[in-house]
Amino acid sequence: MPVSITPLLADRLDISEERARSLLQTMLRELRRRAESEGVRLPELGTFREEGGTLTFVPSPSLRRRINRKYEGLTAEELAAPSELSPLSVSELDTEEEPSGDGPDDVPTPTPGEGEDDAGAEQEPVSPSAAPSSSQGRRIDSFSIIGLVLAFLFLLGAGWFVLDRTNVLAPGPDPGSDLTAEQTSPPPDTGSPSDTASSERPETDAEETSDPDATAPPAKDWAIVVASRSSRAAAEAAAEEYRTRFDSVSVVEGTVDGQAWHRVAIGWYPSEATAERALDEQASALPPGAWTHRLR
Amino acid sequence: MSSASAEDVIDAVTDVIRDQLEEGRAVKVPSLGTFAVEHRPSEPTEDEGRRRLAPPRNVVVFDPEQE
Repeated sequence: MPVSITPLLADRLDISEERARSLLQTMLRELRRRAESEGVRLPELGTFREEGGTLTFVPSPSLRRRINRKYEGLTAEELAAPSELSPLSVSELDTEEEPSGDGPDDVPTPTPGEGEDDAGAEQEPVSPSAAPSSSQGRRIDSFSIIGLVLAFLFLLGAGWFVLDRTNVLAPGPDPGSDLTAEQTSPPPDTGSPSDTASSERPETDAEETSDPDATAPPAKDWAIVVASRSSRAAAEAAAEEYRTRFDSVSVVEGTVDGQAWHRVAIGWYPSEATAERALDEQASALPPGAWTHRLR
Repeated sequence: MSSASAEDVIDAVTDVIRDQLEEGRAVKVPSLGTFAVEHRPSEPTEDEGRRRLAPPRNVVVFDPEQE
């Protein structure tokens, strides 16, 4: 609901409302008369002009600035290319974006020279701090990202250091020695083949692993393998056959290419040379395919 | 003020209208029209293929009174 100017004018001039109304009517008659001819410019208010029987009003730059003080310093932001942002002030934007129109909103801009006096007197510089550019915002974002990355790397290193110190990730047993020893009898200190055995052909041991936790003495982890079976029962049956002829016979389970094999081992020797020597000495009593193998 | 000159009246009218508009209030001037302030929110604009986001602003609107 608009307020009437009459009581406000009377208060401003310290006169009665009747007197203010009279003075206002006199002023407005003169204003309309001049607006019909060349137009009337009130420096601090704007320009009145009669166009096609309709009175138009173009606010002065100082009035536009005054009603936009809360938006002072805001500039248009380039959407396609933010880096090319041009530092336009609010007043400049108003000038650009208020082309000549016939509506009350799209009022035409004043002609050059109009309002220049008040524009020069009231021109307020755009405060750089009031309008941070988008490039500054991007710089802050970049710093934040770099800081987060550095923090993450630091936490990663600290975590690795703690795990390393606490030995949580300490390496387990030698992956090449995961063969589970399942001896059926404890190996003797010095066992040697003493009899012949059946001619059985054991499989190769290219990818075999062995378990260090075997029951054999640590210093004697070499044996002569005389048979190998995929089932433990078959291996035990073969072992029983060899036990009749050898002092130390055991069944040792191992894994080859993901499949479990049960080997029949004879004797335990402290080194490969010792086992090979025993194999050569007892070759006649062993199957042709017997071979030495480290089962620990 | 016992006697106001024409200049005093013009200045007073200007000051009153400016003050009211700055406060966001519409002012009705008898036999002339009504002045008001309307807010224009931030909006994207396009000029010669370049898209820009215009800041929010206030504009003065004038509704002339028919004689």
